Amino acid sequence: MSKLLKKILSAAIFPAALMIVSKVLGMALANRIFDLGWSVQSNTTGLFSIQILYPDRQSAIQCNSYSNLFMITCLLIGVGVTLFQGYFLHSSHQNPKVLIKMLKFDFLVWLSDTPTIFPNMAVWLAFLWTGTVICITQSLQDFTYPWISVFAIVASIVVTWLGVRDLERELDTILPKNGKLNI
Amino acid sequence: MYTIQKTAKILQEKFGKFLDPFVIFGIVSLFIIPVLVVLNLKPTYNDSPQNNVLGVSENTTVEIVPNTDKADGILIENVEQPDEENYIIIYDISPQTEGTFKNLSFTISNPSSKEHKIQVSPTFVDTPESSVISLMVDNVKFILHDSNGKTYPPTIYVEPGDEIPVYLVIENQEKVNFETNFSLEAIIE
Repeated sequence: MSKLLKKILSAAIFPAALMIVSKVLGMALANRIFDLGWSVQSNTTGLFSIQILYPDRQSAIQCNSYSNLFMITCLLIGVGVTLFQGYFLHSSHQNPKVLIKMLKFDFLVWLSDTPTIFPNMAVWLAFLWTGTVICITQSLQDFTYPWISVFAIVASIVVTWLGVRDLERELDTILPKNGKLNI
Repeated sequence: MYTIQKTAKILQEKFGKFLDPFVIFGIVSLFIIPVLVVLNLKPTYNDSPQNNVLGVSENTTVEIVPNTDKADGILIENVEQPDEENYIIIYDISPQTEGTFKNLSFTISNPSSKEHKIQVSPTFVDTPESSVISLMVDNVKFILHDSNGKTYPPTIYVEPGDEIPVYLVIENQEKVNFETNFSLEAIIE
């Protein structure tokens, strides 16, 4: 069995679960914070049989927008943790200064013992972009505030850029440069 | 124990590559399932909450409520309603002197959300030819019977939400010594 596929499969379980849980939690929080009235209705025409029903369009948009924002924020935190591991805590980047700082702040638990974190980062970024596409689609349908989509796009671009920079730095350390291996 | 582990390892080495499509399917599922769940969690809203209440239906037609109190010798003797949109009102007019007599005849209400019109058809049998009989709606007079004995079928338009009192006005040119009867048929359209 392919090791890469196994790694991607195991890396995708947590973000997939987080995407669902954060959306549900975001809806619950939005209902609580904005004191929105809601009910559950059964729908026999769609793929799923249960839908959340709001008394008016404004409440539905408000709940959907802030739950999407919460979901994107949770995925961003996941990507952020992976980036953090990539930049500072990955064993390939360790140096005495970083190790001392990690000991000082008790961050040793965050050390990644895997040879590479890029499959993990790619999976997190894929989920983040999926969430962003959902936000954009719903904004075009006038069902999510446009500023949330703009935030999701900007954040996704920034973290993807940071991830690519980290990948380049990693490749520079292991791949031949000017005909000579750098390791 | 060792043999089982060894056999499993050999099997995995030989047939492990055939598991790859299933792993790919698992990865794709892990992406598709959250997307479908999140899309399904898109809330819906009630377009017209007033119309979805069980046991409540919107009134679709006009109501005519006759006034059965006698005044100025004008009395509604009987009201028949062959169907929901058809009223027959029978009047009994007492002997009167010359002059003008007026009484609230009926009230029209339109609880529906669209405009309706009411076609009024009078039938006079023994009404003196010189008497002018009319309906007064919002200070507008609709003549039913003029001083030449000619009859007219007026149409009353009722806007949504309107509640209009309709008066019957009798103008006698001369004294009427006998009791008269006539009827109005009101058809709601």
